[in-house]
Amino acid sequence: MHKHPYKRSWRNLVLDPTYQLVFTLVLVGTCAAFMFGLGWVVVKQVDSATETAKANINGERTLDPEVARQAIAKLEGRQRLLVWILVGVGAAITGGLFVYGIKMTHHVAGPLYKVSLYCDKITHGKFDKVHNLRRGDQLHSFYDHFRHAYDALKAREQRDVECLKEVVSAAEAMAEKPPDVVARLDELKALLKTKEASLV
Amino acid sequence: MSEHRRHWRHYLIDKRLQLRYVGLVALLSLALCGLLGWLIWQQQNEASAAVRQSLASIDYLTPEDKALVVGHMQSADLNFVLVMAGVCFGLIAVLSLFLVVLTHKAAGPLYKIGQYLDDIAAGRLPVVHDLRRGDEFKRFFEKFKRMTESLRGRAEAEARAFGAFAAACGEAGLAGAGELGHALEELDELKREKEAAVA
Repeated sequence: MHKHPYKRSWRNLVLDPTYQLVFTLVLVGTCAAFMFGLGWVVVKQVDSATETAKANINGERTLDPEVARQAIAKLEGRQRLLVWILVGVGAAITGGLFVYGIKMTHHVAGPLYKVSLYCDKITHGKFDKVHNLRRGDQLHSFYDHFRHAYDALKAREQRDVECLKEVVSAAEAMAEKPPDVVARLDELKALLKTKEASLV
Repeated sequence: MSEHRRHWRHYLIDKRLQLRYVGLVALLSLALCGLLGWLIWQQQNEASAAVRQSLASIDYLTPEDKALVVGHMQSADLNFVLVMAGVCFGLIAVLSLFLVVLTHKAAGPLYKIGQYLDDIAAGRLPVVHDLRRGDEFKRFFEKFKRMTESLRGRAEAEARAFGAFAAACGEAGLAGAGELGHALEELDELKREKEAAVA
């Protein structure tokens, strides 16, 4: 067992770049498109409302020109502020969603990365202890499938070891063995050694 | 062998994984539409209120004409909001369908590998076929495929080694002898299991 529990790190957040970036960019792109499309309508509406209000103020002949100028400047300031708020909120949402998207997809890519490490070990004939998923990880059901398969493979490997030990010990107890049997027995001994090492 | 084709009924393989993502994007889109739609509605109302104010000061229009203009403006405002809401809901619906297809490309390979893992748990070592075009997790799948290929290769080699030892013992007349005979029976059973696993 590990002395220190594994901790997520920002450097390891992107484990499967293709999957994580595709899903995150779709999420971010969708929201950015809605923000941009509707934001554009909002800006148009604000422009139109400001123009109407300015026309009203300009048409008011009894109004002091200085008061009218101040009112128009206030309207234009409000118009600019709204546009900046829209841009700022849009950028914040887009950035926030990008980080969230990467973190969300990491909870799927993480378990797969872990399973892929175990797959590599099995490929190289090593059956280590399988650890649990981390808190917040997805794919629990998939991981259970993997664990069952892994346990079955390990149990078969252990059974092979028991059987080979029995065969080797019985064969070695025989006083006289022809060279062909000795050669084949050496193969089994080598296999036994490999299998025992794989279970350590 | 005929190539596996995607079917509409099979697009939702892992409902939890897929609907979580689709739901998140749909909800975010809805929230943005709601927020910005409300802003648009506010601006529209403000512009209409300004026009209504201007109308009040116009003295060459009869009250009936003014009411007609105001009524027309209100109906135009409502139409605008309805069209916008319709477009947003339509876009979100189309987007959700697209996302179901997109997430299927992640859930599909996991489902397929899950079936292979069940086979392995049941004692078989299946031949792993490639993923379909556009599927996700290709790198992971390659590692999984390499693992099953190595397991198959090892099982075949072990079955051959077990068989060769049993044959050598048989030829030397040692096969039926006491403890070794019993051990060889077990070895033969393992050999048959390994042969069946890769068959």
